[in-house]
Amino acid sequence: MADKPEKFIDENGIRSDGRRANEIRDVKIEVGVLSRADGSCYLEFGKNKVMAAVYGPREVHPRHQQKSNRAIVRYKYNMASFSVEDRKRPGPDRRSIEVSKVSREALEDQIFTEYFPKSAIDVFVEVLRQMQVQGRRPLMRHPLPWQMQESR
Amino acid sequence: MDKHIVVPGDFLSDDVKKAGDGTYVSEGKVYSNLYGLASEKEKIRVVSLSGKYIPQGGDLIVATVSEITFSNWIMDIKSPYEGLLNVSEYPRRIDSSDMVKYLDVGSSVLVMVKNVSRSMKVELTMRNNRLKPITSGRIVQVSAVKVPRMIGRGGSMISMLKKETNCNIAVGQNGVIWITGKDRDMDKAVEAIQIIENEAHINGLTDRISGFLKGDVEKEPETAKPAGSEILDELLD
Repeated sequence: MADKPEKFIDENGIRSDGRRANEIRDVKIEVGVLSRADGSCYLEFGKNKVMAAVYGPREVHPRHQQKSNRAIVRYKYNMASFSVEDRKRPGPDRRSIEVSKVSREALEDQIFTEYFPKSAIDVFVEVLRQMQVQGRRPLMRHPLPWQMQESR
Repeated sequence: MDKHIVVPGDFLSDDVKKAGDGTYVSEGKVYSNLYGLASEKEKIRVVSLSGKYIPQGGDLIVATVSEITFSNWIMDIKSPYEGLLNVSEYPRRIDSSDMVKYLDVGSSVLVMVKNVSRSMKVELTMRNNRLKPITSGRIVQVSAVKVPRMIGRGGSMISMLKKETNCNIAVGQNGVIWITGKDRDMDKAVEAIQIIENEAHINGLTDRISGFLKGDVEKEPETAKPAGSEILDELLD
């Protein structure tokens, strides 16, 4: 981690990365990047880079997880070992398990799972580059730049 | 006609009477159920732009045997659910020990969905003298939501495709398409099908396909129709 700068905002109101106080980080979204996924997206938020993929509804494996009245939603958030400056130990840790759980519960309520009984919807979120101090916001409704600027 | 893209939960109307296919009503307002194109006539309906095949009773589909159990063929129907074809649903009476002789793992069949239970148990049937195993031709897979475009209004697209390519084509509701004909004709048909799949949402599709087919299909003298063609003709009319 780099040392803490003297000031976060200088006398001209410019932040250390050149943005003004009211400016959002640059956002880039590309959809449909993975041909085998049913839905996918590549997202850059400032210097953070994330790849997400959705599969399903599809058959549930292992079978015992299936619910006879609705689809199950499985969400896996993972940070690549090369995503941070100091190599991260690969695999799930306490933080990514929590992020997965919270995100899954947020998504589950947004999906009409009752239309697809006995099936599974899988979501994979892979963090490829992670620059800022981690917040708890892997999910945002309509994370589109103009809308976020309006809400400020 | 004005069409626009909606996602599930998008507000469509205050008038409950306008709720059509692909919509739901909540607290006296109409919302979209699907990701798709919304259009308004007497009713507002949403046509899906993506999604998986969800079987319904009466659907004609192309299925492939994936497993054989004591008295059922378990079939891959390109859906989140698997299809079950019971021995008793085979057109002739066969002993369960002989099942492999009639349909082995990997064979494809034109089948009908007999019934789908609440818990998504999909029962298939071949008990219709027009449903038979597939022994020749090619199978092409397209997205199930493109099937209506493949068939066209009142079967216009599919009948044109069959006429212009001299092939027999069966479009399963699950997006699996069975084509029989001469190799070159089938190449053409497959190409046309791919165009339809990629451009399904663009207006004037039938005309473009018609142009494509008429443009470079050289008519060859009509020869004997391929096996199974009369089955298809009947089925698709």
